[in-house]
Amino acid sequence: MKRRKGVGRAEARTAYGMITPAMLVIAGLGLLPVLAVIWLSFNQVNPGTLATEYVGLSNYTEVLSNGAFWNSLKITLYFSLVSVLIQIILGTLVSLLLNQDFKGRGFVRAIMLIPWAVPTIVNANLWKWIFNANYGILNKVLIHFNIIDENIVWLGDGKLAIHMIILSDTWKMLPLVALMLLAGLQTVSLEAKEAALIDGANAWQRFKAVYLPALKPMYTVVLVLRTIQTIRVFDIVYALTAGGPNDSTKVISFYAYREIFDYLNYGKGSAICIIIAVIILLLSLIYLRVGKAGD
Amino acid sequence: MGQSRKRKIGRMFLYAAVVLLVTWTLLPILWMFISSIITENELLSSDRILPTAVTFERYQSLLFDGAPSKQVTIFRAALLNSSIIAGATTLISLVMGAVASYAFARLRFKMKTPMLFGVMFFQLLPPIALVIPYYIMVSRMQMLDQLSTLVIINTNAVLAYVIWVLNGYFKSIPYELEEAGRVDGCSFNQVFWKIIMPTAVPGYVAVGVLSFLMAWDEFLYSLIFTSSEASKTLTVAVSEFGTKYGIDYGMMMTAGLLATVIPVVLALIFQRYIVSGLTQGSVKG
Repeated sequence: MKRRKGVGRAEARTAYGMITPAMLVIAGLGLLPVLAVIWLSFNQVNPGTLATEYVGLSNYTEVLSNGAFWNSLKITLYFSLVSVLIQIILGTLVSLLLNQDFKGRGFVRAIMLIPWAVPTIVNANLWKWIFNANYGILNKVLIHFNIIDENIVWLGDGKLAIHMIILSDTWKMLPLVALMLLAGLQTVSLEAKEAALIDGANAWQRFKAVYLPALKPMYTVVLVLRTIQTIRVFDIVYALTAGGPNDSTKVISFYAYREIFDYLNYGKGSAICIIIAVIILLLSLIYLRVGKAGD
Repeated sequence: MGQSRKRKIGRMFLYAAVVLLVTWTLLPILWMFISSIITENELLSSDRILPTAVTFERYQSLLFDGAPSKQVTIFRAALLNSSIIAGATTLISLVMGAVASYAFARLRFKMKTPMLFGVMFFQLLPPIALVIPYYIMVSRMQMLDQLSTLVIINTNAVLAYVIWVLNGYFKSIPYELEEAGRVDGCSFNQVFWKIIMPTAVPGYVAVGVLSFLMAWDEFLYSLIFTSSEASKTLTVAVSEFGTKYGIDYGMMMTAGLLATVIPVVLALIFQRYIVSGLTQGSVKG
C-alpha cells in the first residue's frame, strides 16, 4: 500500500515534468492573455498610453444593448447554420458516392483534398475574382449562356454576399466533410451491405439501416468541429467582403476586429472577445461530451 | 435483361455524378491557373472566357525577374518567411506536444482532465480573442515585424492541437507493448524513447502535416504584427497584389497558386493520414 502510493507520486512527478514545457507555453500564450482580456473588458483603455480606468460592466452593457452586436451575432449564426447544414447534407451524398465502386475512385478521393489544402486567404481571393462584377468568370459564363442579361454585382448586395461567402467556404470545406463521413462509411462491413441487398430493401431503407448508424458518430464530430470553425470565421470575410456591403457580412470576429483596430476601443473590444469566448466554451463543453460518448 | 439495363442506367448516373463532382472540385483551381497565364488584355475583356494566347510572364516576374517590383520582393520574402514560420512552429509544437500528450494519455496525476480541457479550449478560441493582449505585449517588447513573434504566437494554437490529437493517438497504442518493455527490464525513459516514440511515428506525421498547414494558413496575426517588406507572410502578401487602378488579379492568382503548391503537395503525399489526423483527437478525446 505504502509502496503504491510512492509509485503514484513518482508517476505524477514524471508527468508534471513532461507536461511543464507545453503547459508553460499554453499558460503564457493562452491563459494569461485570456485573463488579461477579462480584466480589460471591465476597463476603459486609453489606446495610446494604455492607461486603464475601471468601468465595471459598462463595456458589456454597451455591447449587449447595441443593435450592431446582435446583428453580427445573427449573421455569424446564419453563416454557421447554413454552411454546416449544406456541407453535411452534400457531404453525405458525396461520401456515399465516393463509397461506390467506380474507375478512378482513388484519384477522385485524392483530388478531394485539393480545395481543402488551398490556403483560406487564397481561396477567398480566388472567389472574389470569380465573383468580380465586370470581369469575373461567373458573370461571363452566365451571360454567355444567356442565363442572365447583365452583370450581377455578387458581392454588392447584402442578401447575396453572405451566400457567396457560404459558397466559397463550402467549396473549400465540403470535400473534407465528405472524406470524414467516408471514413465512417468504411466501417460498414461487407456482410451488412450484402444482407441489406438480399432483404430487398430500397435505397432509403438501406441507407437508414446500414449506413446511417455508421455515419452517426462522424456526424457529431463534423457538426461540432464545423460549428466552432464557422463561428470563428474571419479570414474569408476579411478578404471577400470586409464585412460589407452595409455591414451585411460583418460576422462577430470582424465586428470585434473593427472595434479594436479601427475605433481603438480595447475595452469594448475585449468585452466582445469574452462573449465570443463564452460561446466557444459552451460549444467545447458539448464537444467534450461528444468526445466522451464516442469512446 | 431488365435487371442489367437498370444496372447500366445506374452506372451512367454514377459516372455522371462523379464527373460533376470532379468538375466542381477542380474548375475553380483551373480558373485560377487560366487567370495566371491569360494575357492582360483578355483577362480584362468583358466577354472572353478562354484565352487565345498564353503567357508565363507572371511566373517569370514572380520567381526569376532580376529587377523585381516591390510587391514581387515582398512575395519572395514571404515565401521564405512562411516556410520558416510554419516549419519552426511545427517542429517546436511536435517535440513539446509529443512529450506532454504521452503524459496526458498514460500517466496518472492531479488536475489532468481540467488541464486537458483547458488545452482544447485555448485551441478553439478564435485568433481575434487574444489579439489585444498579444498586440500590447508585442508592441511594448518591440517585437513587431519579427518572424520569431509569429512562431511563438502560432505555437500556442498549434501546440494545443498537437497535444489534443496525439493524446488520442497514444491512447490507441496497446498497453501490452509498454508492459512487454518493462518486463524486459527497460526503464521508463527507455520504454518512452525506444518503444513509444517510434510506434507513434504515423501520428506525428499526421499531426505534423496538419500543424504545418495550420501555420501556413494563419492570417490575422501576420496581418497585424508585420508591416515591413521583409517580414510579411504569404497569406498577407498574396492579398496585397494591386496596381494603382485596383487589384491585379492576374498576379494575385499567380501568387495564390504558388502559395498553394506546398500545402497541396503535402496533402496529396500524406492524404491517408489527414482524415485520421482530423478525426482522431475529436473521437478519442
